[in-house]
Amino acid sequence: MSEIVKKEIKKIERKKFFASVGIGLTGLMLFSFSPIKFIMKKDKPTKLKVSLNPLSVKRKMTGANNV
Amino acid sequence: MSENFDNKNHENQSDPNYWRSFEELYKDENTLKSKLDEFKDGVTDDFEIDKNLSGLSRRKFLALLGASAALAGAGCSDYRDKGEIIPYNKKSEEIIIGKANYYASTCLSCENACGILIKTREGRPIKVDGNPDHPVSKGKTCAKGQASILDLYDPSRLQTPMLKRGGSFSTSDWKTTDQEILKVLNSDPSKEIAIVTHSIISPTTQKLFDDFKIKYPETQIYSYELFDNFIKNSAWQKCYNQQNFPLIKWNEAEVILSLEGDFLGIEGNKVEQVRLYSEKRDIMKGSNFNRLYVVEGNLTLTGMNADYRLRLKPDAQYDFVMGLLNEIILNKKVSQISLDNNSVSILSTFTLDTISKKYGLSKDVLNSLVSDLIKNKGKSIVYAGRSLSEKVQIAVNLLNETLGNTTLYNNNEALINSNLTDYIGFEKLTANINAGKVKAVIHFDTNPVYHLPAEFKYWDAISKSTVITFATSINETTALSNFVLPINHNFESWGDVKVRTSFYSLVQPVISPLYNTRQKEAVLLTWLSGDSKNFSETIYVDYLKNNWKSTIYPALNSLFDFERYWAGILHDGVAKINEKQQISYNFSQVALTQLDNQSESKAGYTVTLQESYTIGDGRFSNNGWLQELAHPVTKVTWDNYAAISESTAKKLSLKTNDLIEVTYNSNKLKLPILIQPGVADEMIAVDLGYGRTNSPVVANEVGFNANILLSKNSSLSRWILTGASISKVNGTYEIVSTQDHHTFDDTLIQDIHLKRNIIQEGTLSQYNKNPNFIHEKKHDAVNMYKDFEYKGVKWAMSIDLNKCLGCGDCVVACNVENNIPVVGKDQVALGREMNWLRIDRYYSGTPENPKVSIQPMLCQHCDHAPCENVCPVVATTHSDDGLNQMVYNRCVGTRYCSNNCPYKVRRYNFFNFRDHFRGGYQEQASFELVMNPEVTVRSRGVMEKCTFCIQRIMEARQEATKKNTTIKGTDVSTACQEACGTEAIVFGDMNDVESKLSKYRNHQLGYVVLEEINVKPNVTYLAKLRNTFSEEV
Repeated sequence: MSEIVKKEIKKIERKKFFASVGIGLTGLMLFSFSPIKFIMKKDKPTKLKVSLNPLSVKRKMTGANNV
Repeated sequence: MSENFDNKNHENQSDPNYWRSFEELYKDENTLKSKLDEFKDGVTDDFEIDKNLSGLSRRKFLALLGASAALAGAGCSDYRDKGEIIPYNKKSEEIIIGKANYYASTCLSCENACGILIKTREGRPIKVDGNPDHPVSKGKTCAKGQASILDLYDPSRLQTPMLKRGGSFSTSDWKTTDQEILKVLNSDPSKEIAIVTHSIISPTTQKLFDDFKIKYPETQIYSYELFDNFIKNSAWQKCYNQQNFPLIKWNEAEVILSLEGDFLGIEGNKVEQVRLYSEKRDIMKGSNFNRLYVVEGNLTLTGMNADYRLRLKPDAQYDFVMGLLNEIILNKKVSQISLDNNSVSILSTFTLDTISKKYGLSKDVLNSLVSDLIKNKGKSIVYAGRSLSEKVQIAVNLLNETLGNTTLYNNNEALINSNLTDYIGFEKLTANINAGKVKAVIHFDTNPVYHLPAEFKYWDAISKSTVITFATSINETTALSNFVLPINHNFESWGDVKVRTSFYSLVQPVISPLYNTRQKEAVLLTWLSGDSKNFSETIYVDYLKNNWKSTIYPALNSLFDFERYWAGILHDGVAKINEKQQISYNFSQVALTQLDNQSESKAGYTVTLQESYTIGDGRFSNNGWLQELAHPVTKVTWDNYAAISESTAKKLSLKTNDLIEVTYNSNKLKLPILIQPGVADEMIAVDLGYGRTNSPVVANEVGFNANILLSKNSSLSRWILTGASISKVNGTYEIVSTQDHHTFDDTLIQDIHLKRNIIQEGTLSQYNKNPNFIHEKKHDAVNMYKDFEYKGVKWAMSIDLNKCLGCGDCVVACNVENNIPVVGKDQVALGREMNWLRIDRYYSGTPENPKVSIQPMLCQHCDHAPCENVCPVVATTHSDDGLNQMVYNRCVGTRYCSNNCPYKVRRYNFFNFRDHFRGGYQEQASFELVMNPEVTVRSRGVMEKCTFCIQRIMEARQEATKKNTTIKGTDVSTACQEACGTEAIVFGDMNDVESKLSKYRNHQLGYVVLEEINVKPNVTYLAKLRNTFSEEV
């Protein structure tokens, strides 16, 4: 194979390599920073509010059978 | 092969001539040539790069691989749910992060109303146990009480009011619904307002209904229970002129005869009854055991624990009791009352001999029974189950009176009457609705469309009225309602309860309502006020306190002012009052006119309808823990079935899982059969509470709705249907039972549990003759390992099989404490249920009269644990206080440990069951709140097992360290131990020789399972002793 042909093949392979890395990096940027993840299915849409009733009276557990 | 072979090389040679084939041996030319070539001919044929290879070069492949990795990494950037961790901005004074708070309250899962302590963490309830200060439950609660925590966080709870418009429901707000309902209530005062409720056990709720009736005089209250004591109380009223059947002093009975009465299982106050019964089954207090005779049709939990059991159809019980009366009064001439001639003549018709022959009852057992009852006059009790007819109840009352057993009726305390409405009342209600005389039907957290007999056609009637249903989740009745009002769970509610004389129980909320729900009493109060704006969060607690301040508190002569008193009773959960009674029992012979000489026994099949041990009358059917709790007798989960005897099945050519059709009074039901040992012939037993429709996702269409067999025309009682017919139909239905899961590695041999000493048992007389009888056979155990010296605390457990009834309360308690997932029927069928603790049930004897042996089985925390050696990643280790530990994040899921475990107590997460069951039902937001934060939530691919509640051990150790002391065995109580109503489970430090645990461990009856393999388990079982006359087990 002539030197010129070898150089051309190398150029094409280099282009393909950097094209692949570029696609990968673009994907990384898209998923990390874009709003696309907000469109994705949410695991827990609502959080329940937990609060005490202020009129309840607490106690210690100790007793005959509860240690 | 070439003919010119020369094998002289291998003749008389000193060097061996190795060969791999005959060709090589006989020195074939081609073979010799092929030895010189590395590759065979033809190996490079058809090798053309362009045709046979993909054209993808190595470089291109690596380039694509790099890009994929980059994209995958980007896609996985959200793999971990970061969540949000926000500390309290304003921390409530009540909460110390990491420390639990406890609140006393009352369980309203059934009308027994046991006192409970609710454990909360960071403001949310996570565990329910008994209130030790409660005079009835004394620190214990049942499986339904334990599992009720799951109902609070049920994702399918109703969250907002719903209105039906144009045939479909739409969400609404309270203001709109209140206004529309008030319009209906205030219309036409000549028409009735019907309130349908369960037993009214709250005095304040009763007052509220009375106030409601004052404002709306057209109001009628209808209360019902699917299972009630109507017949029992009616018979009692006739015999003793008192409203309610008395409480029984089970702990003072030397002999108990139970007729179709499952008092250790589902009848009466089971929590109290098992405690009292087991007081006379405590080997530590000596060998003066009570003797239990059970005569029943279906094998029940009580029957499993009987010393003597007789199979008898429920419609034959009248004959049996009359035969006993004849024998005791007329033959043995034992009687404290004199009967008139008519009664004597009736009794003479029934002889024990005839009954024994007619029903195939053992004469020996009958003779033992009669002599026992006579010998223990005044110290025995004959108990008739609530499902038996009034005639049987009266006959049993007479029998107790004859034997002087009224001394065992509690004469200081009595049950409060709950004034239920009978079927006649509901028939009248349905007729009124059909006639247009009822403007509104209010279902006060009831589901009568499901519970009432189909014959009433209640579902059809209510379409002619305005239907308002209070409910926590959708059900058969809400589907047919105009207004569906979501209500608070018990743990979000206020209330008071009075089921017995001499004390009240209090209900207090431990969490503010999670959704837009209201307490049902508060809604009624709002309607009473006439304006929705008058609602406030404290409307009902103010009403409750006012009621107490004005009616109850003044009579107590308390030294404290009302507010202090109120805080005190909320703290205790109980308000004791001086209501001492002296009840006397004077038998009225007029009741005997109800008796006759007609047998109740009929031809055809007898169907008994029973309350489910786990889901009650169906109100707990959406609770996955309870659905998955194995039936204590059959070990079936997730379904009901028709239990029939082996001979009945053979007669009808049926096998387990075959479908049958049961017909009674033109009501038909198709369901599968289960061949159950111990069931009487010509009889079918079916559990109610299943076959729900229009129900949340866990309950919907699980099992078969046997309520359609309920009939107002059944001759004996609602729950005993005589003269039914059954026929085989095409098809099968898989019933899933856990009884063959996790069995020990051995071929199925009859009585294997006895031959291998897995179960060791004897009789009381055997024990009294030779207390060491179970240790007569010694095992020559070989020790492969050097024993480790455990200094300090060494944890161990002991289980007294004399007290263990096999109820399964401990299993549910463990599930709640340790975040055990529900797996579903399909996974249980594959043996993948995740319960760390199982109750093994063994039969011995014959299928007609089986003896049942029960044994809770959990991780034995063996000193020489065979699971620890085989883990390739050291995920299971042994602690220096004797625990077999599990390190979840090391586990890679080889399951070698489970394979090696001789007790089969390890559970593997084949799936992330929270995600897998019912489409991620357990992964919904509210479900997170039920988790115990001290216990890891395990995911897929990880092995788990009983940890001896290590989280409780660690907490106790931290407390001891804070106090500058060392941890003691009595500082820790495991979840199963805490839940066990009979205190069969004892946990503690085996190095403390004075401890209760040591006494159990070193008892003569103590043994370990599979002792011969010498893995040195740390769970000791106390052999069961049957209190029989002979020494035969």
